[in-house]
Amino acid sequence: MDFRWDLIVEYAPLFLKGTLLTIGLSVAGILIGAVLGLLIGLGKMMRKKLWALPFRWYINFFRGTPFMVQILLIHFAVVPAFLDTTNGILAAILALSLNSAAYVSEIFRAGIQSINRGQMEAARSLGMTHGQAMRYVILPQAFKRMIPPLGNEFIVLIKDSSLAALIAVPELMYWGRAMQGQYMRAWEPYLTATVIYLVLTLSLSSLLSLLEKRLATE
Amino acid sequence: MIEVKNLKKSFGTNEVLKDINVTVKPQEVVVVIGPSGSGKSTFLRCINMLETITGGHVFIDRTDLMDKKTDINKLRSEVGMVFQQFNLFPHKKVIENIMLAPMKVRKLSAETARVKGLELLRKVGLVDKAEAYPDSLSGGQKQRAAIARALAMEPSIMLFDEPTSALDPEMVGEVLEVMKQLAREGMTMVVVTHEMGFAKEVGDRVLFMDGGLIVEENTPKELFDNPQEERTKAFLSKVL
Amino acid sequence: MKKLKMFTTVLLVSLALILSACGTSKTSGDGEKKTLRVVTDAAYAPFEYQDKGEVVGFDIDFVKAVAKEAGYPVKVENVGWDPVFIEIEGKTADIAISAITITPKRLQTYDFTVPYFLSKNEILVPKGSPIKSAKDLEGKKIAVQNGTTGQEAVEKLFGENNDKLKKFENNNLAILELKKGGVDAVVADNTVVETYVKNNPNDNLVFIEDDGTFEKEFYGLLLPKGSKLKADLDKAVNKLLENGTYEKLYEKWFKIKPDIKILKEQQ
Repeated sequence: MDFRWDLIVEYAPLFLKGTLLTIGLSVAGILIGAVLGLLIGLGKMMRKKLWALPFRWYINFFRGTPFMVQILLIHFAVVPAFLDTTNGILAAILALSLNSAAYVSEIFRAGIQSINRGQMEAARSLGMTHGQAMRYVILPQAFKRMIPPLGNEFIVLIKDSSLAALIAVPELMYWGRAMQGQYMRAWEPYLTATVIYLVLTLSLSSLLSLLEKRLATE
Repeated sequence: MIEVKNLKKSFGTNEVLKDINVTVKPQEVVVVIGPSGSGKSTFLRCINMLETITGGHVFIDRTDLMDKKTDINKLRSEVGMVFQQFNLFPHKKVIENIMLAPMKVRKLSAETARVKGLELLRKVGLVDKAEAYPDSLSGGQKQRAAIARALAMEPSIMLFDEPTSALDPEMVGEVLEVMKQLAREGMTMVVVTHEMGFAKEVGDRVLFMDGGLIVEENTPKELFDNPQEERTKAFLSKVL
Repeated sequence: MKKLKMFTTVLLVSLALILSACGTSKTSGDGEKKTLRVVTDAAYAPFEYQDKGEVVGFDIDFVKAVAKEAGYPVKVENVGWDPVFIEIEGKTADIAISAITITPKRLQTYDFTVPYFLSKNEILVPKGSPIKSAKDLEGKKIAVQNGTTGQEAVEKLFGENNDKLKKFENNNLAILELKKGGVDAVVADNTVVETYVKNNPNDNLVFIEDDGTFEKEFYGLLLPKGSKLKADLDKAVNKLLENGTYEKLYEKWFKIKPDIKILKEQQ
């Protein structure tokens, strides 16, 4: 097999630009998704069933439909409905954050509910309010347990961001496809994209395990 | 100090407390004994509203817990609670466990809270463990730290829910010693326990509970030496 | 044990579903000619598109007629634009027909049959757009289908991978982007653009020809490099061009008469 290194060299600046955008989309998706996910998770845990219902359905919708459908719907229908034009980057960030928020909220909920009931009781028996107990006692412990599943979710998010190529957002996969479309070759563009994605996800993994180690008591 | 009137508690259709009437006077040490499932832990947990009360009233310092206007958080900060499973906060050092509530609830400064925390740790003999995490402590040390944590809020009442049941036998003594010292200092205490020796030595009054009711109550000497009720006799014959 | 049985059943049923979806076209008897696997990207009406799940279009009718003429049974499969090339390069498919323009670049990697279709790029814009020719596209946002000659034509004018160019998975998405205001124009093949304008008068889009800028293109059947089918298929294509079958199909799909002479001149 002849491998055209020269094509990769030619496309390197574009791959670099695409990688930066992929990182940008992912970071925005992770941050917004995490904040939104926490709120939705708390919403779903509300004791009044009726109030929790919208949050439950939010999660059902975003977990129960393909991300590809979500990103197309947001790009071609939702964003134009508000802005009167399309905006690929905005649509990609929206789709990634809204989607990951659904998964993150379930991770938060599971993390919080995994903390022994006695912790809440001990905090309350000391006179703390429910909010104080959550903030100082439950959440810090739950957060530690959430790191591995959150890491998983964020890796999925980085990979899902490649679907933004579909709406012509010039991220990593977009340039891989552009290169493939121009030279009609499969190995060079896709292998390059593969390696870069792998570097991104592996970096995130090691970052998270570092964080996990630092938070370990004892 | 504590007045419990016609207290009822059900979990679904299961009536755990049927009709409890108790009064605890200031500085009194009341020990609650009884077979498991008799409702003694639930009774204790009702006193600081860890369980929602189904019926009746609980008054702490004449304040009705059932009154919607009562600030439960403030009331709870006056009532210390020690749990069977310690429930120390594992993500915080021992000293931080003790400082947390005084700082967040009483709004003490970190220094004041620390000075007070170390003083309490000295009292329970754990000052050298101040900077350790709970996971590195033995069971007895954990329970003593938990007692110090409850005392940090300067409660006027201490509730103990089987504080030695989860401990290895050789560690029971050190925890009971701390509790005895508290009693000597005049703390009002309600203690649910299986330690009959402790009840005899420290208790001003012993309540025997069974089937969600207080079957018999008396001074320890009278209750242990001269039980009146058949159920009390049957229970004591098994545990003594 | 019961769970294991359940699991096995589910596994077998899903395998059966997958296999039935793949179809069974492996009849390689000695006397019979083998079934040719034809791949296409069915998102390019009226050349190839899906009508209630069935792949139809001018190209599909044409390739079936060619294969029949050459004596081969065929099975047409919609695989998407980029996979079309990957499959032919990897020889996992025998023929691709997907309105593919014969270019020198593609000829380096693939073989083509003789041309069967003339095409040129056109510009699709909203009614009242200031864009009147290819030159007016300068500085404007343009959507194309990734890897098409429309993309090549735009990149030739304004530079490869320039910021204003958005490459989409297919022309449907590119046109949708235009309709939603994300770009100012779409550059694509004449038939695609004109059919769209004709079929969607309410969208208020118009097409612009610019024969001075956009070169004529010829479509061919895409074959793997060195394909033994080429001679047979070339003969069949010419036969159809001559015996009126091609004209009939062309009129059926495009409602106008084809310029057969220009196709023959290209050979």
